[in-house]
Amino acid sequence: MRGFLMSDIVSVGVRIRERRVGSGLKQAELAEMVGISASYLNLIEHNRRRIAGGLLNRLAQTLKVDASFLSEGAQASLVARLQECAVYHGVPLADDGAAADLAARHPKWAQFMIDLDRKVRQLEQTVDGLSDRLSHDPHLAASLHEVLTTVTAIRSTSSILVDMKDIEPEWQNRFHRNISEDSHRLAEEAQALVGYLDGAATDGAVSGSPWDELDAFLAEQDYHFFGCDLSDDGVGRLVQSSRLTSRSSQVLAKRFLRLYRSDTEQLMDNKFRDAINAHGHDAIAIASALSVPLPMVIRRLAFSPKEWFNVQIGLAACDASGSFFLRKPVTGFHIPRFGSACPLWPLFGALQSPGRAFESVLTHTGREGGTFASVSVAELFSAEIGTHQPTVLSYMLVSQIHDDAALSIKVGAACRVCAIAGCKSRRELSILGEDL
Amino acid sequence: MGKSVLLIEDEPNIVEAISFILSRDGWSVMTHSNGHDANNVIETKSPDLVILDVMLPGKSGFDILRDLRQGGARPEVPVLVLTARGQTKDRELAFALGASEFMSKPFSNGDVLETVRRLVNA
Repeated sequence: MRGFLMSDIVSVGVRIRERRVGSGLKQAELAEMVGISASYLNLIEHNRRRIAGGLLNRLAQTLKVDASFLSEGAQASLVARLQECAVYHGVPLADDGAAADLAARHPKWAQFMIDLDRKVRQLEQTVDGLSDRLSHDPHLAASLHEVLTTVTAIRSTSSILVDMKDIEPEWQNRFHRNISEDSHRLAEEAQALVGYLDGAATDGAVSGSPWDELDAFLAEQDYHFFGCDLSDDGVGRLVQSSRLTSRSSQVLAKRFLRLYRSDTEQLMDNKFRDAINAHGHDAIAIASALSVPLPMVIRRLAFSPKEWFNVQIGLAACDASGSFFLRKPVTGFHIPRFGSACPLWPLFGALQSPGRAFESVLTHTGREGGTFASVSVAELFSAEIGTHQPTVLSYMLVSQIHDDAALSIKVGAACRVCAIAGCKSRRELSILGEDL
Repeated sequence: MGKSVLLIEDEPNIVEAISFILSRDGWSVMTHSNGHDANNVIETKSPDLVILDVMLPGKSGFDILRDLRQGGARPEVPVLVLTARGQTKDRELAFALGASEFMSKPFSNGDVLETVRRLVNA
């Protein structure tokens, strides 16, 4: 990153202050969030200190603006985002001046294009999600199979009655009865399918499987329950007042909340925040410093207020079958719902060595993508000697980093939407064209 | 007695309809409704053609086909895979495992009849 001239510094400080004030943050609050002292932030805001790339990025992320907006102002930010749009959509730019020209002469059109790009990306994410659901949602697959099977029976039987002559009366009666039964069955199956796909439309409930409901519940709570009453009664009220409708999803939510309560009792908020101040979101360092289990620290990091950190923190947790039972998505790191994730993700490797921590840098090659620091560990339950398979649960914490991705492991979201060429772990064709 | 077809399908009304049209066309139709012992039934009944559903209780049609082609007693018997799983990847998997023909549900009776005749007389 280039150094700033004095005139730049003046603008950077002013823009940071304006944005901070606009966000309703005090100087001390913002300083704590980005890991610097309030006096140092004061110097920056009064244009008396240069700021380095890492700090600029943290400030931008915390203030929810592009780093280029802080460093170079609104128009430069517009140019940078236009150029990013062009790269994302594979549009070759004749020269960088074209974007700057558009931003300067037609800023509203430039903004319109950026908004369109954002919309396109949102739609692409939706398509990815739906594709994942159509391919791997076992409930949906089973429902569609039932519908197709019943339609087949009706079509085949009705064709016999229409096309074939001289059918004995007893056979005619039999086929009429079959069609009647199948048409009733089809109506019920279609009704159930529509209800499954469109449950939210009638009562505001969350549609989908119990896991979808749990995901939506956690997302609505911003993935933490800081300050909530987590006594048994409190958990009951939280669940009852939520949009969790199915008994299954309510049981899942209660189970999660009990685990969350146990974690917060063993690793109290004040102690945990001190550790975060000392070690950031370094799960291994915190677990080591506090002598607590790493899986617990990973859960605490994933399910704490996002304001405690200067990066987004995501989580994927699976059981021995590879099925996810907890998901906290993070921008650029898509986690599919139905157990079809990239087999290169280290949480799957961790399943084979419970208790051992795996640290990896991952480059996610999805549409949004990015480079992520990850730490994975599996924990073992009911490990007493016997013939029963012990329960193993594996966790992977991810957070975006901006380091050089050269030594990272390339991963995807799922084979179906992954374009990594020559991947030895590929198990199905990609809709993006990669062969097995 | 005409040539024989073994229909392995768990939906009784589809079994009834296909059995009817094949019988009317002169075929001897045998039926079986689960995947558990389907490979044994193919071996003992020794049909001229197998019509095989994929989503079967006990064992999937793909597994039955794989076992049939890899060491079954009648590895050469033509197999028509008839399934509601009609995606390209299912079709490709069926042929990779040795299916003679693949049809997705819902199908037309005429197409089933024509395909059965073609496979047995090939």
